[in-house]
Amino acid sequence: MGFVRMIEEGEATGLLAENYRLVSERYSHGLGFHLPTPELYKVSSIVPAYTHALSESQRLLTGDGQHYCESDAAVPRLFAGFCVAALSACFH
Amino acid sequence: MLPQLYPDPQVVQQLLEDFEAAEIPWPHKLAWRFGKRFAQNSWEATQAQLQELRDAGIDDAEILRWAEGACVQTWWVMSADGGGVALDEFTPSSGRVVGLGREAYEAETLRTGAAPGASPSAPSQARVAWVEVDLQRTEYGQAAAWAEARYGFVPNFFKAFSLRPQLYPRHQRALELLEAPVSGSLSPRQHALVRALVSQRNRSAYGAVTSRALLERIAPGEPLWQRLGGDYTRHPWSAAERAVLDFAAKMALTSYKVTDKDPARLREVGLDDAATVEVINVVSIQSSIERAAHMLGVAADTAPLLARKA
Repeated sequence: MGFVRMIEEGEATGLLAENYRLVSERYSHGLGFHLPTPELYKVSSIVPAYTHALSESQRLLTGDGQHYCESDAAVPRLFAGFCVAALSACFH
Repeated sequence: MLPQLYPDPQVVQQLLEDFEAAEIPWPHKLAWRFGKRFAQNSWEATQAQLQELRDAGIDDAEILRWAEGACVQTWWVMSADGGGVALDEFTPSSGRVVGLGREAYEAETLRTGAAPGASPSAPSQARVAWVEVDLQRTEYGQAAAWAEARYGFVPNFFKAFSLRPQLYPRHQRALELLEAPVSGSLSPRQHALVRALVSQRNRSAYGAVTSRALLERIAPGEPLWQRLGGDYTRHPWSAAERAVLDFAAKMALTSYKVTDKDPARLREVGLDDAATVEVINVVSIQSSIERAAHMLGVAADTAPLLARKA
């Protein structure tokens, strides 16, 4: 589907498979329903070091998936990052 | 996230068309401004803008959290654009409307600041950064020790994030990934060219210290930095170098313009998809750091972030 070859969840092995699983679990935990690994995490899958770093970033940023939708603060935890995405002209 | 925060669909629509006019809480509006500046023209960030956040009750630790979220989101967004990631079936509706910002983005980006390729902005005169630092924390000490061992000094970027030390593992990993090609598909020279071009396009004095030194280490005696600072297309390059530079230039400020033709061109000159992935990530990671440095007013380091073993 993408511009570069991507490894799907069923094909992934080793560290890549582990990262796919963790990413999916964190999203699912944070959102309250099962979410497969988003396509975004597959774009670098043929160079797994980058996928691993993306997965680690997701872990640190979300407190291991604990606070995706936190909104008790004046500005929700992930809101500034969301604004970057919204104003980056990124279709995804 | 938008429908959760703003149940009124009209507010959501207004936000995406012109967030300044939307009736939303003031701190939210500041977050939108922060995100816009980070994404589009971080080199124009000022200390007064950061003070405006403090005046609204957002402390420096929270500002760092915003910067970090923006960093990671920049990496995600640019990766998605560069790799042509399709929307997931489960992507919420708010994700689908993001593309509405393209026209505004283009108009504003092209009329702000100097033309792409101009010299990076002058180093900040701040001590370390515009945000407070606390260099007595244990986590900072650990990260500083890592940096001392690797680079021979502690980068100001680390010091700037001392109030959010839990983020250091990510910063360390990002810097490691930037040091050299990971895949073996991109040559060290191509990699250094990409890094230098990105610093120039982002007008980053912070990133320029390292990317220029890396380029001069890889290609001593060649005036490559100067060539990349102007219109690089006027200079001779190998077919592969030119393809890599064109792709990196498009990624750096207009990643939403990447199409399947761009990776295809890399293939035509003998580079594989891993090389494309490498360029995508080098541009994304470096841009995220350089933009965060702009937003936080991080002073340029006095030496490059090049590992001693290299």
